[in-house]
Amino acid sequence: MMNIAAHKCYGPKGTGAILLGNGVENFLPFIHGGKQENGKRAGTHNVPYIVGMAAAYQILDNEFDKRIAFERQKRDLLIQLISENIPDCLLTGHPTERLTNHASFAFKGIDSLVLQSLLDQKGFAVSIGSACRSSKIHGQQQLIDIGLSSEWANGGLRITVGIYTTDDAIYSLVNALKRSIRILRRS
Amino acid sequence: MSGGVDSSVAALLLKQQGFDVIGVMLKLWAEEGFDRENQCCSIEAANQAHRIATKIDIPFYLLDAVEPFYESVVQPFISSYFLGETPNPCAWCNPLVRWRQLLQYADAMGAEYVATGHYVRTIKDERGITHLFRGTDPNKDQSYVISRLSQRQLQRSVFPVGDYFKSQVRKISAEYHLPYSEKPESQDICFIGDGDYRRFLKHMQPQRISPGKFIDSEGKEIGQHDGIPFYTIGQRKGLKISAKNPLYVIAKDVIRNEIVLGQKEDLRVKKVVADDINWICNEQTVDSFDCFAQFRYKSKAVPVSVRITEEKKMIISLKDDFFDGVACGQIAVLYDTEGEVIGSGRILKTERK
Repeated sequence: MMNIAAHKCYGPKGTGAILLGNGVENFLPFIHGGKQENGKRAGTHNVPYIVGMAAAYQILDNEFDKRIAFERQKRDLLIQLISENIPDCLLTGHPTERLTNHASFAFKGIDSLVLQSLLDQKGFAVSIGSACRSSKIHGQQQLIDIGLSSEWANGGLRITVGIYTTDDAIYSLVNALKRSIRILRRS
Repeated sequence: MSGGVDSSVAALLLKQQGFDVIGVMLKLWAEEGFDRENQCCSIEAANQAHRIATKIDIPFYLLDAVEPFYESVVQPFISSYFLGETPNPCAWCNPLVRWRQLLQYADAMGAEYVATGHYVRTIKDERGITHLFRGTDPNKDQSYVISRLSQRQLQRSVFPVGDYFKSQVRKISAEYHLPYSEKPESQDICFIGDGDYRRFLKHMQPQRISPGKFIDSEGKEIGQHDGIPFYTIGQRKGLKISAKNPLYVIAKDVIRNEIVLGQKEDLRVKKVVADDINWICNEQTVDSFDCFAQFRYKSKAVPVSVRITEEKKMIISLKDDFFDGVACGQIAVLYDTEGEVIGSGRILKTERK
């Protein structure tokens, strides 16, 4: 079984699919009622969204290698600039064996909630920790789990790039990041 | 922004006045696992505040002050009870956590002022000194808990609802269709899950609570108490002793683990000594001056004369009979006839007659 979401590859938000292999039995529907999708998912199909998702995956398939290479170049530039320009900074995870669009860091002595809001004010949308954690607002458990000490464990930041990311955007993000971290470390 | 009406309307008023407003909620330490309406800094409260900020069209950020709040407010709150005092956590939180964190954040953001939904008024004089006054609405006035802010903190503070009555604030909120305009007031201590401080103390420090004697003013045992922190000066209810006349908690002796009970007239306080003085504008150098003093958040200011000792303590002498409970650990706030806050101190001891 595999779940996919259209917005992960620039398709319309709010549509996705579950791919069922032959061996999947006892699939229980979450939404009951109509007989759509062989009774596995009741409700009228949102045809334009579904077509949009199909088109997005078609484009992804056509451009896959190009897109991966593009993202990787942006990601590596980001990692390189941040590592060179910001003191007391740690790349979390493997330098290359990672998602091509994804870079994550820990900054010593920084509360990333504050950092995130400063960057937001400058127009950069970044994330702290994993997006899947929301029951506790703070405490970056993953950073503690990989063995970072407490002065690092609140300073996790996740930055992702995409097919519309430019080198200029990366340069200005790194500048904003550098300035914000300097301000926060001074106070 | 708490998600409540006061801070929401404060933000709205500033936005309407043309300020560049950033909404912030401080996440403070709070007991978890309770489902109280109005629970401070819960996910629900943060979502509410976020929705309100979106409606006002300002950004909203959640900041984390869990650790400083625990260290500067919750821990001293617990210790204070075991010293026989009745602490006032808001009075510590404001200068040590809330304003300290918010001003630090304002500096990082490049913001000039910190605004809150407290009901107090300020006026800056020609020397650039900020004067602090009671809020216009006598039922909502919060100058008692704001009196601990330093001059420096006050100079960078804005209190947009201080000139309004609560009813007006509710009306503004409803007129602007702010979400949650009907939300009830928060009353209890924000970090205690169910608002019951006795249960909280029992839960946090079970080994430090031991029953002891209730005694009368002659030292005669008249009953058993459940533990010193569970009683506060002036308390009448919950003593579980039947007597001809109602009994009140008059004094607490932590060392002997005894609580003195007496009649209402035994509560009469003649003198209050306070230290840790915070002068709002000028340090008072005159030996002695007359003013009004308020000893609890919700109580009336009474005429007093104040003398400052060389050790920078305030000796507050009450001019009239005063039978309201005055508890150590609370704040004594000095006002002039116009409702301007002169200064405040932490109540160290009281002298009865």
